[in-house]
Amino acid sequence: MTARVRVEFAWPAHNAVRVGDETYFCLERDGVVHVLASRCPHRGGPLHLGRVEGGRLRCPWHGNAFRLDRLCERGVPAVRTGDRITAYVPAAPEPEDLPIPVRQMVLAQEEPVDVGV
Amino acid sequence: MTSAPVRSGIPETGEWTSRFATAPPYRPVSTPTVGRTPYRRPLDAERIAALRGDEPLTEERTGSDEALLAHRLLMNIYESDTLFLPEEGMAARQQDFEAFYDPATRLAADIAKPAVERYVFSFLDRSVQVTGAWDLESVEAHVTAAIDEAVHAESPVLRAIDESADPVRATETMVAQMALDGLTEATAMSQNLGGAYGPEQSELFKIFVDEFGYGVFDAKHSTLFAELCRSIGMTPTAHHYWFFYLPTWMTSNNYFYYVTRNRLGFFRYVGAMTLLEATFAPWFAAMSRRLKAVYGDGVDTRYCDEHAHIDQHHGRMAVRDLLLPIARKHGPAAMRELVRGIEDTKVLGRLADADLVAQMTWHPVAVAGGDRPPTGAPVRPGQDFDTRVAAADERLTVLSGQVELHHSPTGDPLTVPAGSSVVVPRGRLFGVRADRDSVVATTSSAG
Ligand code: FES
Ligand SMILES: [Fe+2]
Ligand SMILES: [Fe+2]
Repeated sequence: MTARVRVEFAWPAHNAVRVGDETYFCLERDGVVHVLASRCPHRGGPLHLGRVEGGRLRCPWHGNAFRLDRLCERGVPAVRTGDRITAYVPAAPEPEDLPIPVRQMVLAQEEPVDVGV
Repeated sequence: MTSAPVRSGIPETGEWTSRFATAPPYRPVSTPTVGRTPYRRPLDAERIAALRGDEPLTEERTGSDEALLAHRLLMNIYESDTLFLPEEGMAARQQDFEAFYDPATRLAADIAKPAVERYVFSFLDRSVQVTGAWDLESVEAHVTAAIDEAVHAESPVLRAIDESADPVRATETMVAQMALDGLTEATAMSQNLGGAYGPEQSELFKIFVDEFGYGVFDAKHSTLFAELCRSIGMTPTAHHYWFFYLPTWMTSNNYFYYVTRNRLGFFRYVGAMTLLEATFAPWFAAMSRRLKAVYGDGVDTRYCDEHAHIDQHHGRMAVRDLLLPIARKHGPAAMRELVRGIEDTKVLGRLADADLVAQMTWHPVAVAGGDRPPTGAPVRPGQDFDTRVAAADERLTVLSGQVELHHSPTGDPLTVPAGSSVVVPRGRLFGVRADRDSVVATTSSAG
């Protein structure tokens, strides 16, 4: 079982979380915000910089496209109420690497959202 | 019974809603409290017919007049499928009994129900979003954090009682809301005792063994609640204070019927019940202290004291023996629903607290003089009584006669004589009554 760490952040002021070398990013589908692992299953490319095309997320590295419904199904356990998101991200190998909420300038989006500051 | 199609409220089923709401048990009464019978629960069929069912309530409108009407309707839909017998026996109530459980009315209730539920509860699908692949560790972490947060939060309701200029009225306004399930035997929460679902069913039963007083009537939680009511001079008949239930408190109570009458809601129900059971103990301990501070030694706090004690166990039992085993056995889809129930409860609790605090801290005052609107509506002695929620800040000006403004289940109403007015803030629940022919103008109170 994955060891997990709880992280809370205000969305959309923050739209991603870093834990050690990993990034988890928010993706809004039909008004619902999912928290997804950015590491591409192919060779680890940054899915959070990918493009959403017809229900799939295309990785910017080698162009593989992954079905969004499946990515969301396997997403990070998360709860959103209002602008608050609580997520349980996999812990980093170094326990002192705690999750840090961040704001990505460029982010894969199914629906345009006002990221605002 | 209406047979013409009604252009009403809850689409698809408007006619059925109307058939139900106009049935004898739901006819109006002229008094601010309802007689000592489980079978009278007044509904205003006309206002219900005006609901825009195609526009479900948003979270912002859970305390609105529309929510009030829809939740009264829904509570009656649910509870007409629940057994109530009159305390004094059936002899004088046979007709009411038959009317309350009339199969044609029940059929209308069952047909109307899904659309009414959608109208009042679909906001939760937007307010609470649970996503991702949950596992046992994340569920356990989440339920632990939710409980921790809840038991350490200060209750705004109890603080409002502490700070109230009229603590007795404030407390009784709260007790009247608690009576929603306190006097109906936690019926809404006990819908899943039947069925066949393994060891967890037995664990749930253990919790209810306490709730039901181990088969000893005097030890039942509802008996203890009735004794609390009696000791402070309140009437311990279910729904006696019908007109003073706040929409958000009916929301919380109806929620438990909503997630249990439809068995698809089972996991959500377990999440919701677990969070409540796990947070009741400190809340009831604090309430017991408040009750003694407000009423002195005469108040019977056993209802609170019992929960302050037993819910320490129920909380642990609900998490360890019910929620986590269910999560383990039924997997990620169930886990998501368990978490959703926890989150629903947090949202509903926050809305109910805010609504109740606003009602408790409203102390209406009649002011003489001021503008005199040219026309008003008659208020006659003995006419149907009802309460409603102000859609905006409203000024009621009494043009002639004299009216009583009812704004709490107990305590004197405010007398407003001719030539005076009173402001009802947006969102507040009130009713108007007169003992002589009167005329009241309702205007926006802006400025
Ligand atoms: S790393 Fe994503 S497609 Fe190759
Ligand atoms: Fe109880
Ligand atoms: Fe309990």
